[in-house]
Amino acid sequence: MSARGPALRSLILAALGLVAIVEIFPYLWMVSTSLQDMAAVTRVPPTLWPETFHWENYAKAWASGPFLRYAVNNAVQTVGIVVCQLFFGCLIVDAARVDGAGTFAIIFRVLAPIARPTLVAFSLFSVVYHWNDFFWPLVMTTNEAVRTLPIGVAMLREEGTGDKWHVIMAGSMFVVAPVLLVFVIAQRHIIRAFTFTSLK
Amino acid sequence: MLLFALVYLYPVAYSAWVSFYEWDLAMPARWVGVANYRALASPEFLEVVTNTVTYSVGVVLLSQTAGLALAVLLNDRTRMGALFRASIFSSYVVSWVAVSLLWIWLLDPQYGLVAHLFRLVGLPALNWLGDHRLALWSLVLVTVWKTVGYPMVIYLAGLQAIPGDLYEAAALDGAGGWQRFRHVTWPLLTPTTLFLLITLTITSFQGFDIVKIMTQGGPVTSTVIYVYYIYEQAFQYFKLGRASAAVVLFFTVIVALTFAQWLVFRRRVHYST
Repeated sequence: MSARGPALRSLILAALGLVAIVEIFPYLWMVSTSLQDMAAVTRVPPTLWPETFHWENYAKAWASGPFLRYAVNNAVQTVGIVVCQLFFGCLIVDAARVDGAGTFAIIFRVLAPIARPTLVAFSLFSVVYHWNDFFWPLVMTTNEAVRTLPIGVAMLREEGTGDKWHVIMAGSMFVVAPVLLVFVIAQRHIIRAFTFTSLK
Repeated sequence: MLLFALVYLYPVAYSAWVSFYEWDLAMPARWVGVANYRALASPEFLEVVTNTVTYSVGVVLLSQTAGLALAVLLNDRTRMGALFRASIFSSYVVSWVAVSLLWIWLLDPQYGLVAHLFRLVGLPALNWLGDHRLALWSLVLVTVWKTVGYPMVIYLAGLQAIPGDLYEAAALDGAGGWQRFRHVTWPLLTPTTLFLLITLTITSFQGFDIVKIMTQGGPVTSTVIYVYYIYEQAFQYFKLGRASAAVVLFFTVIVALTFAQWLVFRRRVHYST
């Protein structure tokens, strides 16, 4: 694939650039909407840059349900599941039992150092997956006290906020922003984790 | 190992058992034989199957083709390439709930960004999610938009495993760009293609969040796909027997698919290094 002429190269770059814009621009639109007010959201034509920044949309979305609880539940669920997965995953490996080392000693002294790249890759993958998970918490819980963020965010649209898209987009940021932040910082590791976890 | 097998098989066995009963959680379960399976032969259920296959085939074909094209174009390790790769992959790690909400808003027929863009270039406004002929395809497009980064990075990994001297040899033989793709890249990517075919088929068969948030199966029943159907039967109509029969059929199909494709996989992919 070496002999690409300069014209072809710029054509390829343009095509890739277009795809990248199609993939990224909707998130900018999301942020933009989340900072507008009702009048601006329903204006034709719309504007990307808000005239005034309505940060209170975030407070409104946060106050429209017990979002602190949702966020805590989400974090607890995610961390809990991943820790258990790693622990039980490691338990299956019985190799170091020869000199009577305890289970914890085996995991922390023997397994973790050897398998660190695999463990890190799996953890990243699993954290993202469970942070975003909607189906299982939806099916398994009916009680508000144990609801997670994706469910809380989904309910923003069902409960009273109607078509207040500025508030819904602000609320969506609660579940999107942490993941995208981690992704921006560690994108190489995350992409490798997703590739690695599925190919092994 | 036995314990793990039990943990995984118990729910399936339990579903199989419930599938012979009529049960709404409130009243005691009543034995109905194969009636729940007979109900799966109804036109209503056939539509669910058609919807699911349409959605799945659409998603797999589009995202795999686009993923391959992007990977081939991105296959050099430049800064710009890394930036494009990250931008395109980013949606894959974002929650389905947020993506679905975002796209309801973008596709809003009145105030949505897509409607504005269409108006700008003089195209008629489309009711993406409200038109029963269009809604399922809208879900396909949103799914491809969200997930195309996955086949892209998997294909990139596959491309990087192809030895460069094969291309040099092909170039010496006078092969042009398309011929190199056709006779070197494509055959050597067969294992990757089959792997993606299995994975994407199974994950698209399991689609649920996007339907639950974006259309709730509507307009009418035009976007009811398999897992959403099961959810509806079990948790909205409380027909646990019928839902379980659908689960059993689903499980059988998934296992059969995996097995069939595994057989193909074993037979055809030995020439990779």
